[in-house]
Amino acid sequence: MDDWCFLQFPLVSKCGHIRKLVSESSDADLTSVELPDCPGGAEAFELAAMFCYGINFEISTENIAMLRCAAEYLEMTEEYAIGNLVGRTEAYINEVALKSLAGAVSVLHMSQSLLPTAEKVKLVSRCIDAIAFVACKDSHFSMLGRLSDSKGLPSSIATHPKPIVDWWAEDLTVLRIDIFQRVLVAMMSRGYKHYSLGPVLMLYAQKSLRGLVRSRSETSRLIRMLLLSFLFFFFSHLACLNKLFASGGIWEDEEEN
Amino acid sequence: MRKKIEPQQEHEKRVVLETIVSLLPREKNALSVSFLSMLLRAAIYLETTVACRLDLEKRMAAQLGQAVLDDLLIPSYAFTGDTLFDVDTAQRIMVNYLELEVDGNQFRYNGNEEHVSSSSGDLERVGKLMENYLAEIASDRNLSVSKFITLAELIPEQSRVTEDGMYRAIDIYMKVKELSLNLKFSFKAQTNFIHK
Repeated sequence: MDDWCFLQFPLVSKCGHIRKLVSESSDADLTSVELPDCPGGAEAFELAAMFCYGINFEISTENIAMLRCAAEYLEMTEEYAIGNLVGRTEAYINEVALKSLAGAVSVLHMSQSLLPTAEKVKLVSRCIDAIAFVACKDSHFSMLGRLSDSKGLPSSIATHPKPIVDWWAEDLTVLRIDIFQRVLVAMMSRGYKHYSLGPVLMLYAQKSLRGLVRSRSETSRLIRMLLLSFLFFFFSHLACLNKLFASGGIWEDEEEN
Repeated sequence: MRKKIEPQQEHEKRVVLETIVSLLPREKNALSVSFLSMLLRAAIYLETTVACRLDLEKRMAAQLGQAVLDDLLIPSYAFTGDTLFDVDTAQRIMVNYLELEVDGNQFRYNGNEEHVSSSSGDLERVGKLMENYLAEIASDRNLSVSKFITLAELIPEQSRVTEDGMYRAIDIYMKVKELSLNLKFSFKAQTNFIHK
């Protein structure tokens, strides 16, 4: 747990949560408040505090998720100050972060560690929608599906299109499996052909199951073949030796003499 | 083969695999047989639900015409002195394939366009694959006679252009059996001689 020293006023004026903590406290000379479970931890709180003090910092797709969630936790709404952090982060999310697929995936990735607040502010579902929208818009496979339905294409392409890996497939592999599943389901709901999800699933599987199962190597097979041949060879010589000893061979003759 | 994976990690990967399998497209040829085989190996290793493994086996069976020998050679993860490869799984895949073949033939006569049935060229290819598989596992001395025969009897007669493949498999199996028996006897004879 980190201890921070701040001037009370800027924080109390903009953070509804802190204002409530202070006013509800029975201690007249309250010098410290506890903020357990602040989404994004100390790092997020520091940025929120900087905002309260009017110190500039850069909002990016890397910190927007924790900022939005921290702002939610601290209740930095318009009710307490005009142009407060909730509104500012919302504007960034809608105007910048969710406009690109890479941005949406990045925010979604960060949101994974900010649950349940990220779900509460609908950040997760908005990111999933944005990803599904862009993926369907840009992909040729929702289009190909429509064309083959209208029987405009030659039959060879319509029945056996070769799924190509879409440019965003690799990006999705960073997501946790349950989030990844929701993204794919959202895509299918928007008309993305299930058939075309093969490559994305393959990439994800290969990445998450890497190192688990080694594919059978040719060398192990070679070794087994060599062992087998050796055993055959060994046995054939052993049989000769056995015959020699069993019949008594040369030694008995020598003894008799 | 002992597992080197942490239980927590194993659980996570199990969930990942079961989820991926539930998301796989239904259409044939959306995924390669080798990829399905890789998933199946992982599923067996991670001990996913039986439903998940059976799903993968069915999918492999539907595309068995594209499979190579390596795809069927799934290692056995049993701890006891069992066969090197998981023969039961491979057998189930072959049985599934043959059932699909039968259904496919029925549909073909009905003129049903929906079911993509394999041609007889496919059958010959799969038959050869099964013979190669048989020859491969024949060299495993832990393979019981009944198991060997059951597998051999699965191979459809229509696919056998020559008997070479079958003969080779039986030959290997018998040699290996003879070898393991004789090794036992020869060691016994040696020890008897020494103690005389």
